[in-house]
Amino acid sequence: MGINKMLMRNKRGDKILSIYWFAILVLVAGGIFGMVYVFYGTPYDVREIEARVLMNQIADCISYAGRINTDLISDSQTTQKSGEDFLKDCHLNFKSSEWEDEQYYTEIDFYKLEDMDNAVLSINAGDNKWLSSCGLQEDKEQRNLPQCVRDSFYSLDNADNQYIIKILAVVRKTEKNVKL
Amino acid sequence: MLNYRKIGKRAQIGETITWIIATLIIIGTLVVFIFFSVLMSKVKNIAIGDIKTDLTKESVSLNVKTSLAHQIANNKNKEIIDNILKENDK
Repeated sequence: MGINKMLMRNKRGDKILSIYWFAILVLVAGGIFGMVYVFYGTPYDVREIEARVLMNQIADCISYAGRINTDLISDSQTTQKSGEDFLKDCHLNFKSSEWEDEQYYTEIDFYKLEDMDNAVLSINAGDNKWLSSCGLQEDKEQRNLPQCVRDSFYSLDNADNQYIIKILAVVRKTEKNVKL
Repeated sequence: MLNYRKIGKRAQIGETITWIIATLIIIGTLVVFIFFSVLMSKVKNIAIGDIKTDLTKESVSLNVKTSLAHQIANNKNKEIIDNILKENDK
């Protein structure tokens, strides 16, 4: 074999090797890009915390220092409020320019200790179409559905009547918290 | 006499296999890393239970309200109320 022929073969081998290395480089870079994109492209889902914060805010509005707000229950007499009035009194605003629909829903039920089956006062505010997803969430957590948080606490009215207050807070905001 | 052509071809095959295995290892490692990043991206929901604080359960807002009401009512029906609240938590 002539020297020229051997040199030609070596050159071709070098070329193939360069292409190979370049392909590997692209592959590794693509892989790193993919990993970063997948991880950072998925938003943090903070809806449960948001629902908890909303719930605490509502609870602070309903009851303070162990006593129920007298605007709601005073001497066992309840004052029915519309959702809008309640939100206004609690300095809450469910409407946002970012969203066409309201992204929150809340339901507050007051039960007398003697009758836990019938609520003496019920208040709900926000968009109640999100409520239907709460039942589904109990079966299996569906991240695309709104997040529901339920909790209850105990409080007294000004006549020392005992009440259990149940709060449900629902937060949708799916697009901002879940990669669809 | 040694057949240099045959030896050269064997060496080439050996080297090619080495490169193929190296490529497979690189691809495999990438796939594993991508798989883990997909898994980690799925657990990016922050729940209140995940937050580690030194606060006790009693210091959570709603529990504070309940214990304050118990104090005002001198623990009247405390056991019944606590049971109802526990039931509701389930």
